Amino acid sequence: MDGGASLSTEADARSATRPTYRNQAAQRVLTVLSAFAVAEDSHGVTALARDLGMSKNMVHRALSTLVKEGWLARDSTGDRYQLGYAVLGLGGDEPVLELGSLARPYLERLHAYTGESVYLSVIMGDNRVTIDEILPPGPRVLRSSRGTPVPLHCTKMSRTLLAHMADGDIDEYLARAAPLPRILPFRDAESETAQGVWDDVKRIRANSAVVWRNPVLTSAAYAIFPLLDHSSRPHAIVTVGGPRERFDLDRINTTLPRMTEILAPLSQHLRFFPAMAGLEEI
Amino acid sequence: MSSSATRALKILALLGSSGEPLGVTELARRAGLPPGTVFRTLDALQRGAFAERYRSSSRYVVGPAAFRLRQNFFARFRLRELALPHLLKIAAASGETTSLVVPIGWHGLRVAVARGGNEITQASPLGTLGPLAGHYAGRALLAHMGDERINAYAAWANTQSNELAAVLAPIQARGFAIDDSRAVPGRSALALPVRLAGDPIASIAIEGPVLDLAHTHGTAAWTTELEALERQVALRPELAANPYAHLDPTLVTLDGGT
Repeated sequence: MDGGASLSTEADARSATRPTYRNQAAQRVLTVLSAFAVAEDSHGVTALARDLGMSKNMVHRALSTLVKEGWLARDSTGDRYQLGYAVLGLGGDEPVLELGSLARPYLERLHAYTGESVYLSVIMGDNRVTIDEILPPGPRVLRSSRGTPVPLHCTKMSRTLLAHMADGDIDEYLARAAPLPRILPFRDAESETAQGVWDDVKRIRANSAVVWRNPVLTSAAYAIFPLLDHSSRPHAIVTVGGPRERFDLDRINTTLPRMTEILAPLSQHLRFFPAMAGLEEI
Repeated sequence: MSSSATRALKILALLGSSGEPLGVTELARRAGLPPGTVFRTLDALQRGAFAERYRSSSRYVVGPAAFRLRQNFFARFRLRELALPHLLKIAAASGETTSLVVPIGWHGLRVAVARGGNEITQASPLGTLGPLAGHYAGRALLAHMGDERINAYAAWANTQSNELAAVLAPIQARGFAIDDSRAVPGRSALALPVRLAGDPIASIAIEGPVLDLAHTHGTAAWTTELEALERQVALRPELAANPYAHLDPTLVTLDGGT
């Protein structure tokens, strides 16, 4: 957002070009307040000064103003600061999370960057369902088509969603799904037993993204990115997949940082919404 | 203290509490400041994404940074991480919107909502519900707080202790609170207290007419989920910590919110 760019009247234009020294204290206070909009519980003066590039004295003055006005409060240690209840006054209608429309621009950016198939999948009931996809022309991977339910223990994509559920919920799911139905046309230890699923869940949890090529179906490779909420529950996964000749593991590993960067704003935004474990979309 | 800083916070609060976009002139009138000052303040707020123009008009609304602050406030109540799966199960089983309400000062605060599947549902936004005694979800909490805190609440709310005790006695006897507004004759919404070592730390409100008042013992399905949540809370009490419990409740004034 650029406030200056949308100014319209002559008087407005003059004020926009005027030095902002008169508002420096306001800017400082708002900068310090901004630091509390990230998913961290509380902040100390020293770390804030370092992170914001301000002197401790300036930060201290801003904090005092924010506490006095109720925007911040000291936490129970008395040394650190947390959000105050004045932020509850920033009301208005509760925004509804429309994952599909929110994610679409990011899927488009990933597709533009890689030229490969991009999928957005969520949990619905006990299944993974792909709710949006962008496919390139010509040779491409074609995963489960949009809307087709795939059990949460079956396929790496499904298990990436499953892996970010709570341990107890995974156990409950595996008990409900037992005996685990075999839907793949080949032996797949990671989806055929509860132990196999748990072993894979632990591997998936060890990394922020899954880079994957099926050892049986070796013609394509995938990068799978989980989108999580504040308490690391899964909202969705974004999968990028392509034929091995142009999108093999090497290329995925090279492009992984940029793909992660593209998804970062979406990832950050979704942390502010509690994940509803799929029930919301039913 | 700098006046430009307090002006910025004042304009932010005005934008946040307004139900509609506000122009510079209206903001200036409400803030009691010259329009030029308000305009410069809005410029600072826009730079920090705390305010933005409403659909490219000359009126303003709060921006994404303000939204993130508010969402982050709710995320501070980590109890909702434990409670959400249970809220979802109750909402799915009852069809009614189900909320988690925690105390903040002497007020109730709705920090998590699971929407029910019924065609008719309450809006139930996150935010304050007002003083504890004013809402059945708050009364479910207050009734189980013990005489000393109930009397402190009565003093704060300027209510006669015996009148408040009469309101809370049936809740204490029943173990849960019902909705006095009775939108559907003979049926009621209800709120169940969530307890840790006997202390009420939150309440779960099922916000639709799920309870047949002629058969109020029929709450077993909800209490099963409640007990499952209480067992989890007992195992991970650090997640139940209320980050505002150390504040003097009489100093928590919530006139914003919903």
